[in-house]
Amino acid sequence: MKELEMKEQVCRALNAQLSSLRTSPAQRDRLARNAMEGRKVKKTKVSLALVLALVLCLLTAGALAAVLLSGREIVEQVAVPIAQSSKQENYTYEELKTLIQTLNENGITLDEGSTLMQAFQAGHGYWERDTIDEICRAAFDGDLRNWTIEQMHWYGEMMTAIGAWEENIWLLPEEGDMTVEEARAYAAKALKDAYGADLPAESSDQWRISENFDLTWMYDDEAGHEEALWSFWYINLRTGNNDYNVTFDRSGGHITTWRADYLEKISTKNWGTVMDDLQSREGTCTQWGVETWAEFGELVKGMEADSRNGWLYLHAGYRLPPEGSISPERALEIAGNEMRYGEITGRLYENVICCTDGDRPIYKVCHRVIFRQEDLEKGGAYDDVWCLEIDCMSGEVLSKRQYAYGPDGDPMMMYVPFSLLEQAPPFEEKPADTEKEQAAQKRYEKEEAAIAQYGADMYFWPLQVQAEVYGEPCGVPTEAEYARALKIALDAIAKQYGKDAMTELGDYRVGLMHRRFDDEKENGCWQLEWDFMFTTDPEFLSDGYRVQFRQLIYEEDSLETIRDMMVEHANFGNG
Amino acid sequence: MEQAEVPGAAREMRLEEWVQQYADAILRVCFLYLGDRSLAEDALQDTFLKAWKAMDRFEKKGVCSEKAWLMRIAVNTCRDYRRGRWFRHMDISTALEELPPRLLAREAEDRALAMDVARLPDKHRQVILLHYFQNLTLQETAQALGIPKSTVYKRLVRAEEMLKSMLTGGDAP
Repeated sequence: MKELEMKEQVCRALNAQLSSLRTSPAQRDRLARNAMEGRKVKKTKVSLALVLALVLCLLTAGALAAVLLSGREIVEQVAVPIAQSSKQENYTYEELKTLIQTLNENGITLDEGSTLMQAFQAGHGYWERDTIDEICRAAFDGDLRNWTIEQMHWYGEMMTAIGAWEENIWLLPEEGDMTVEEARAYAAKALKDAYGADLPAESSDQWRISENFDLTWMYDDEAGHEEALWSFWYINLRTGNNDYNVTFDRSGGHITTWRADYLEKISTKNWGTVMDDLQSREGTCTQWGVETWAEFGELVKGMEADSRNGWLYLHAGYRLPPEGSISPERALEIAGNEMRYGEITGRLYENVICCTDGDRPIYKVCHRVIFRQEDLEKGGAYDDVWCLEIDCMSGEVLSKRQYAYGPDGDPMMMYVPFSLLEQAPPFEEKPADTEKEQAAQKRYEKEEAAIAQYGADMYFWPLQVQAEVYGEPCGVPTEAEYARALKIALDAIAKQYGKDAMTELGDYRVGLMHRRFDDEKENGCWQLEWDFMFTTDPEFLSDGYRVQFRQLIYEEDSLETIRDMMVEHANFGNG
Repeated sequence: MEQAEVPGAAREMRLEEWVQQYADAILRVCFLYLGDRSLAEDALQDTFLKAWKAMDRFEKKGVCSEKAWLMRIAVNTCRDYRRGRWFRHMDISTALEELPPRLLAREAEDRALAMDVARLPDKHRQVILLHYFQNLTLQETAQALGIPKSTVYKRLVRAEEMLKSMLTGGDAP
């Protein structure tokens, strides 16, 4: 994916995810007024909107009922009373121990890798709310968005009981409200009326219905108001996409319906728009099945190519397997046997495409093997990608090639017949792009060389190498400058994390990124920027500290000012 | 030549313009830093409070765009907040999940990508948010974060690698 595509996709995703996170006109007025009056307005409670949902999972029928009850009982009878008995927001180690013992006795084990268990094993307590979430995850095996209305309401009651929520906004239908069944039927009818969609009133093999009945903040007037709202989402189980959504209030009014754009029409402006729309509907093309590629092939028939990739896509002859051919599943199986991945314990991703090589219908199978961490540590590769071509009719493996990462690799080999790759005519590239690409290529090559020699993290490259790769103002400090900066950084860590912090860290390495520039004209000084990383694990930064600061030097060896000091854990934010 | 201080009425008008123009963008960035809407709203208020106080200095220096400057204040405000107790057990990807379901993105792919962004390590998420999401240039992003442009570039490359890896089914390395 190119940078621009990635940028657009990230923007769209974040804007969609945060679409309702906005200020109202009244709020904006208040913001400006408070700022002018120098007023800080601090909320003391965490907002309801934030502490709403969890990440729990689909409950598949009665099989989990016993576990669910057990999980509920433990939360109700043990976790909540302990939380209520204390003014703290966290369980002590002893309280956590009691809880974990109770869970184990009831056949529930928490994920050993979870932060909660790590805290427990290190002899610490843990946050009450997060602990209850963790129990629910273990007991219900997954994603809360698929809970029933009743289960959500129960969870809200628990959160309210421990004081994590101010009120339970996950409601149960009251007398006079529609029942859940009536609301589901009403939702399906609303979508039928709006789009002619034949959607079931219950989850089925094709659709998973996610539902919610909650108090929602509505911004239909300036101040806004709360309203009980039914919401239903229809997840297409084939694609995993949310295709439809409907909401309405408790009396069935204020209906809003929504349907994904790609269900209306695929844009056939050019092959790129076809691909974009299909990717919106079906996920990235690496996840497409044979049917989607065949649909793509049909839609782009007769289109003009504007680039090498376009030409290759337009000439690959994507199609459905012809009558009498082996199945795509069988093709995957044949490819698996051919590659003997059974000997590799890493993870495997694979996809299969049906296309045409000359006149011959072939399957292209692409395998990506992710190697184990242990292998990585022994200096092995991170992953391998192999592509195989298989005759659709006979199942014979016609050819196989490994994808090469880097400038020599041709990712199109995964999507079109190998024979086509050499046939593509040259397409003129725009000069500006070429120049930019050449510069990027040069930098890429320098970076690759540095990575090969010094590892992936720039912090641990020699400063001279950083300067060569990235140019000014990256630079190399004098020994005295470095010694002074190192002392400042270590003092800052000692101040924030205790004087023994570095001793406890053990045999650490020091990484550094350094920038220096003459600020004589503007501020009458030299500015040195330091970004230190102290860790025993330079690859993953799983421990240690990071210290950043700017040093303004006004006179050599005499006057300096330290600005923007920031000290944090090296892995801060890694979750 | 040094500019004169912005007169009172013009200052007020300028602040109101900034609030109108950037409040939502700053709120979203703060939310993605802090993982808490309430805290993000507080940070938004503090950002404009600081901007109001420092407006004259900004006008005089004029070294970067007003958006980059406001984002820098917001980022620094968030950094301060994050040292607070509540943040220590806040997982931003969980916070995104916790947005009320009615507010969730409607396309699963968008949602998954937003979650992937939220799961990025802090330093990589910052550059994605400012450069991609808020459309700041590399230089402005560097100014907003108070780090060298080369560091921004390096982090951006790394962040893209991680996102691509997540998008194609792999885990973030």
